[in-house]
Amino acid sequence: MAHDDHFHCFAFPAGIKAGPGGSAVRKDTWLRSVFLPGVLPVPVTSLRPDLELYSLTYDLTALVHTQNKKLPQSARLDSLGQTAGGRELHVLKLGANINDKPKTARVLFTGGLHAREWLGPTYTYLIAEWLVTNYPTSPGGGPNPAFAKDLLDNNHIWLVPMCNPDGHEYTVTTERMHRKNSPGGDSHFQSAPGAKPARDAKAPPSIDLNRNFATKQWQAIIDSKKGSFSAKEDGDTFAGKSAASATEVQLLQKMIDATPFDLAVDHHTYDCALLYPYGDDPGKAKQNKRLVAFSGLMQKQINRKAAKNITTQPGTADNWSLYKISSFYADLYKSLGITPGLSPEQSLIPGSITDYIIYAAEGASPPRKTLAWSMELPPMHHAGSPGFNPPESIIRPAFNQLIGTSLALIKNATADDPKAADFSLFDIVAP
Amino acid sequence: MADNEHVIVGASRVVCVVKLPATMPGEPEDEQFLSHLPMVGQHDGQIIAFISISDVPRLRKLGAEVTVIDNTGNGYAARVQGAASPQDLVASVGKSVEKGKADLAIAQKGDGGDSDGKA
Repeated sequence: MAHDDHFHCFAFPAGIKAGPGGSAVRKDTWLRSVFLPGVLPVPVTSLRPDLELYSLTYDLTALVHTQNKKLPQSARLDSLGQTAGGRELHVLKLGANINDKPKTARVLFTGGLHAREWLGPTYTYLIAEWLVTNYPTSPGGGPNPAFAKDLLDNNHIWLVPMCNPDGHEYTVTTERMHRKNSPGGDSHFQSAPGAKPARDAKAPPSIDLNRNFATKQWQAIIDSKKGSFSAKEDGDTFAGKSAASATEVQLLQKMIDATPFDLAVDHHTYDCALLYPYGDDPGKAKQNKRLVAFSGLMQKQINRKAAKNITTQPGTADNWSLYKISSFYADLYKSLGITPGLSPEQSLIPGSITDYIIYAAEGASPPRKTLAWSMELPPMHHAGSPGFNPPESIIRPAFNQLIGTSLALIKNATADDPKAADFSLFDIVAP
Repeated sequence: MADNEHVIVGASRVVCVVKLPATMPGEPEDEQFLSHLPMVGQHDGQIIAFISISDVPRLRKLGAEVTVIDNTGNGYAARVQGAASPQDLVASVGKSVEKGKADLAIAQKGDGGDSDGKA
């Protein structure tokens, strides 16, 4: 893939060196290079000779370094804690006076809860890269620098691009289609250097992190034995023996509980779908008219871009759908002609991060009007779709489809009246 | 063997094309199991699922038609990566389904044949 202006290489930050396969490199390998080769090469290729692997820590640190040079105290990299495999759960924080309160909104972008969905972490990271790269060092420079300056001067944007680093590592080293978190006692699994060996017969089973958040109806849905989850440990959607039993979920919940986010988007693959809460309570889904109105604006804007940025089906534009999280699987089965479809109860999703964020806002004192979505990024479901293993060439069109909307969400995160929210302003960001 | 060991070794999971039975079973656990097969793709109105090997006989017992097309998720990922186009992937899966069905028929007759290690 040829480099474009805003996908450029960052200067390696002073004091940070890539060692020859050293521990600092090895512990947070990620596959950004599959999509964006040639950026910050890190010598860990012996792990998978067919892939160039990179360090997430280095990439995020490079963004912090670059942004703080442009505007002091406008970026920091924190860790929410360590996973069972000893990997840091990074949160990148961008925005003027990042150690203080934002002028306008706090926005959260997350990705990678499901290990095999590599586009989620990549796209989440690229939002940050766009903002940092376009932030101007002097006035002027066209609309993109003006947008970046406006968004970062007035808002705090938190990004957790890799919510499941242990699982992600497993998709690199062992099983590309792995979905859940750390595979516990697997002999192929390698914990981070310095952490205790992962091979442990007593290790807990791996958990589907996006079924394990302590949402209001979690226990009721599990007890009903109906819904999009597995009660079996070897099930791909195993929800855990109890809510918030996964370390990653505990760390993310702690962050959400402590931070008054105005808006949040969690990135998954695959389907070209925009999902709004609640996943565990369909009756409540349409009560939030503001959320539904915003969803409509987002869908329209993304589809304007999708028509020009086709991902995997030549000659057919990606078509973004809008679903309630609680009916996503039933609607998907219906659209694919899979019979006999799913009942509404079987489509309920317990324990999603998106529901948790909304419930946290509702339960705050005073309650907050937080908006939250889950996005299923490209490719679309279609005959012969590459599904969870798309080619590198999907990144550019997927980015172009979405970046204007991600920026518009930041800009409008606290807009009370959706009619006043102008998403089309950002159409010029990407072709 | 640890209780969960069979779950996490890559070779114990297979990718298969599953045609669901015409009606869902009455038992809630069975219905829930059939309703949420981990879908990694679709083929001809059917689900391409990535499941534990132990789920294959359970699916068949519940009336689903199951044809294993890859013995690991990596095998399916490589198939996807190797396909030059969506049509190529459809053809590749279709070919494996045909072969899988033929192998299964031979295996069920009990007269030997090359099952290629597939269920």
